[in-house]
Amino acid sequence: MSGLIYRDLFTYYRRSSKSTWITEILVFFFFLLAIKGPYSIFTYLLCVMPLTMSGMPTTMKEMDINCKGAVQSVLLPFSSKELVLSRYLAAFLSHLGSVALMLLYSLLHWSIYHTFALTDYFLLILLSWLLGTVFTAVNLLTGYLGDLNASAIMYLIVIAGVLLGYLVMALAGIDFTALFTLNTPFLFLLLFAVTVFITAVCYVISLKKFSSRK
Amino acid sequence: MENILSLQNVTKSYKNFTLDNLSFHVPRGMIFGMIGENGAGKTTTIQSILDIIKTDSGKIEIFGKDHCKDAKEIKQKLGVVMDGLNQNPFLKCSDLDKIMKKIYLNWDSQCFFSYLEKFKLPRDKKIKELSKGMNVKLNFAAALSYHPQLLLLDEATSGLDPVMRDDILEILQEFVTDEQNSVLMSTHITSDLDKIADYILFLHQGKLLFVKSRDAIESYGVLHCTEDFFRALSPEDYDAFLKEEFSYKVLVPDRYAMKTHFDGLLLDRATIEDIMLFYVKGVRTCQD
Repeated sequence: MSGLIYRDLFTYYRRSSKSTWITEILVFFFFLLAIKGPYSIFTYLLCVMPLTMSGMPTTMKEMDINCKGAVQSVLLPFSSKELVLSRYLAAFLSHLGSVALMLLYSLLHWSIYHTFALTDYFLLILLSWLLGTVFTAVNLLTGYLGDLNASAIMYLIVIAGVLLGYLVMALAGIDFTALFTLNTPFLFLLLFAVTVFITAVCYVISLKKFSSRK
Repeated sequence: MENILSLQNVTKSYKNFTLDNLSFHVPRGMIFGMIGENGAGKTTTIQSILDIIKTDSGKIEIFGKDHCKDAKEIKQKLGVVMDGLNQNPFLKCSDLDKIMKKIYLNWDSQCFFSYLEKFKLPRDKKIKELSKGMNVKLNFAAALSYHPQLLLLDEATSGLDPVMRDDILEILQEFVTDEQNSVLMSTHITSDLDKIADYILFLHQGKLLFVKSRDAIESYGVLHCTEDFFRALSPEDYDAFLKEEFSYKVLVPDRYAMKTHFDGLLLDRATIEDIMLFYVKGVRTCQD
């Protein structure tokens, strides 16, 4: 199955154009240098990065449809379970690049501005990762349930939802730093459990749908 | 002779089409050509074998194993080239080696790169920049580089020029020379099958019309005759006929025997295309 994961990751990497990388770098420095204060951190870590992380399923769905990747996959010597599981694992493994970028961002931000304690940055990274995982699982599920339009629409809904939620919270004057004063180990354990549950449900439904495709 | 592929009473129904109780066997070491007009069921047959579509009933065995239950094992030894089903366009030709060697146990990098060289395919060019013909060649290079035992080709040579097609046909003939490997190819380019097929399988409206050996196909002839002569023939002497304005064209299964009985006849060797046309457009003596 490692071959399938490698195939998905490698194809995704080849699919990304230079402009994708340049945009990511520009966004990185925009939120690091141009926008200052705690909102730059919250926006970058809690909005931008979870959405970036969850983009792979839509891209892979696009290739499954337009490049007949789905038919190619069925011809490979793997079971339905392996095909679906490898797609999920590849999508989650692709998060590692974003996590590395968030770590770099946090270290640079912390060393330049000292806005929060380093542990608080790490908490935000963890929260971002969990959000990214949920969004990815939902996008993957949509890819198995619907066509390319459904995937694109779901991705847009996730983006709109995140931005709207963030905007409402910011306008309502909700203090994001309150997060650091909560009982964080318990909170993260709970969030982790919810994330695992949502991901597992998405995977099971995806597998059922994929196995009954004919 | 051991069968590498066998279909027994395979049926698949769609709203306007039914692949009806299809049964045939492909022995090892043979090239099976599958012919039939558009919509005859060739692609449905290949997709059923590949488990891309689920059949309603029947049994498909590849290498003596169930095509669904043992799909993983089977697909390690099954090469597939289908018209329009190309490799991911964002990859480079050489990327396929990196990916496939992690997927196929028998992947042979040396063999793959030698095919790239033989087909004059640039290693570092993105697949989306390749022409249709080059894509077909790349598909063959990929399908042959893990040393499959059975090749399934669905209109696979349709994008190739005659020279390249000839090269591919040569490769297919080499592929079956060890008498362990087989090829099942569906194509509209029946002249390719005239050159290499050991057996011809003819599908018409979802039904199997016949499976005939190369020898049987080669003995077919097209008789050009007058109406009087045609009337004098017994229906057992021919398979089908086409009435033309002033004459009859008759498809005879044994042109040698016919020639022995009637001297001086205008009797040509029938190509696979001729046989197909007679069976589809002509009047058959035995309509199943």
